Amino acid sequence: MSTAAIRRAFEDRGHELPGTAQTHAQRRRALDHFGELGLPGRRIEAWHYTDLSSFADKAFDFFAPVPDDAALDSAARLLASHAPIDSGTRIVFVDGHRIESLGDAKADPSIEILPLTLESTALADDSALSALNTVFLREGARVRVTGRAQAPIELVFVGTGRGFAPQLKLAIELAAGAEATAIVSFIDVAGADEGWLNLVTDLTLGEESALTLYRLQTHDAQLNHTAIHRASLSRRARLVAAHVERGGKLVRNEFEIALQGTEAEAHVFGLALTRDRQHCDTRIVIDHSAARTTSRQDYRAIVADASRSVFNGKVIVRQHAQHIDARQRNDNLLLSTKAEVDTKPEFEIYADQVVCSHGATVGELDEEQLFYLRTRGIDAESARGILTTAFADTILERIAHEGFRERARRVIDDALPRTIGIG
Amino acid sequence: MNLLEIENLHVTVDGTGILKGLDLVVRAGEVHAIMGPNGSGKSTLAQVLAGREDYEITAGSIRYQGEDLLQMAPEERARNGVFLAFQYPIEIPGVNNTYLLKAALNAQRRARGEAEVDAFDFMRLIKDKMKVMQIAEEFLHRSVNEGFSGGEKKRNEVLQMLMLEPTLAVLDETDSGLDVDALKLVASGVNSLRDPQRSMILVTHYERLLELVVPDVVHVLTGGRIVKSGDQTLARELDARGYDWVQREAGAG
Repeated sequence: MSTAAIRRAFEDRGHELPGTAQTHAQRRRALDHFGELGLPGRRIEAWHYTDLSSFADKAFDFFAPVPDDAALDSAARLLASHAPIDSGTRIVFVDGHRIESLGDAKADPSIEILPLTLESTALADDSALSALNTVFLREGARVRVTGRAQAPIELVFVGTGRGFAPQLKLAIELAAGAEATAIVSFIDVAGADEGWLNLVTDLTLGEESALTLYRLQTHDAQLNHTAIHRASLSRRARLVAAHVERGGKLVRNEFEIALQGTEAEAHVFGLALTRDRQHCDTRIVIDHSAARTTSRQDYRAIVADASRSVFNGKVIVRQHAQHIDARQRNDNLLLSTKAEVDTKPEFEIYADQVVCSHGATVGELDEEQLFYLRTRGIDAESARGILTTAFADTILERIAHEGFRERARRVIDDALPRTIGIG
Repeated sequence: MNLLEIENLHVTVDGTGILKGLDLVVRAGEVHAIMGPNGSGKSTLAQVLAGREDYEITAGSIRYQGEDLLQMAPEERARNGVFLAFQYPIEIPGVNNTYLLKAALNAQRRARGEAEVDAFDFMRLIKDKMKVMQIAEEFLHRSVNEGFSGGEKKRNEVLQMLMLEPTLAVLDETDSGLDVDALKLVASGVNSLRDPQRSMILVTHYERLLELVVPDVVHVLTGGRIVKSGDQTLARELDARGYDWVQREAGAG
């Protein structure tokens, strides 16, 4: 959809969106801002390897109706094979609408789940995609954690494969000293129409709070997915964000993490498995603006067929942020000569007492390792499987929550035989 | 019975001829030592026996148990009882030692039409063998050779050999880089496998291993061919006098 077509869609049906005259004006301002920026693409530095300008030719529907019985049925069937990972509250969205009957609310005095509206969220429509999110945002979820949450909060986004383009928002706010784990997953009923999910996630971590955010993306091959995670961390707050990407058509996943309080810590690690003609782009920006802050980035991609993986990890250390420890790693395993990897580390360092490191590798399976395994009686195909699994495991074994780790491992293991050509 | 018959073997690595007409016959139950100066082709021979695919066989044949070994993939050779203890064991991060040993053992058992090894029996077996090689229990949970010292890697190779009980074991300089205690461990591991049905080829630079594992035959490999064979006294002579005299003798002959 071109910018003009998006504007037309808003003019025609924008009145159906919830909110007051004030919010409507807010949407319109965001639309103007989006109009100025346009769909992001190569001309923007941060989008060097991923271009959404092709979206101009596609017909996305920003006004997914409230799911009817048939849609709810297919969503319920899909959910039946995606059992809850833990015993906490489960929130389910279908085509962008929260469906309470498919969710499961558990009482936990330290967690409050509120509806998310435009009025309730802070605005930061700096980028085209977050502006677009504001224009069509219908709902989302706001999770407030005031103590130590008893079990992870699970958020499941289900698509029914009908070419919708829901604009969704999550806000997770941790009070000082609070602790929580959130598990976000994306699943779809296989569909013929190309869809697009655009999600903005705001994470606010109070002093000495700790948030673990897990993300498991197993979209259908017809789904485009753009996600922006913006986090701000106060003094001694700790964020662990682990993401596993296995599905989708074009996927862009951004993490913008501001370490604003001293001794705040962010660990972002991820694993992507791309196949066919998938395109998966992960961008991580960590902004150290306070002293004695720590960051870790560790991202691995297994890139098969004619797919493409992009990694752009950026570390900014502000002038007065001394005693910083920032490390970044990106390792890529190419399983096909047609696969492509683009990796780009970036560092902007304005302080002088900084420990900073980065490393990136792009390679195929190691022939010496393959031969060694074969001399132990393991056939060539299994040896390839073992080494590919081992490559993925380096990330997976760092996932602390056992249920999520095993779910993620299964998602990768199930996809591997076909990925390495032994299925 | 001849377990292994190598005839007129010619091997080229990256376009350079390394083995140039090597002949070797190993009978069941024998231990052969292959000695020779650096670059003589000892490691190439070991790797070719294990099935390394980027080494080109330009002439000759290798028969193992009467069959054409060169027609077998590395994994088939392993399942048929050929084992190579690597000179430089490969590190495989993310692949657990226990997992590798179990996968290797089961691959062999499946090939023989046997059921997979029982988990309890497997643990008992591996713990017994670890005791023989004096390998600590935490080894079970570590990645294959990752972060191992040189000596640990060599002991791990022998541990794998003890677990897999090969019919033809090729040890490629398993003794180099070992201190006296580690050398004794490796030697006792190797000796524990000596059996009338099992043959071994010890590729080595040093005579000291051959004092602990007494070979039936000692060969000198130089210039890509076996130029002299004898018994343990030949190994002692090589240790005392070096290789020059053998090379001269071979040249003269």
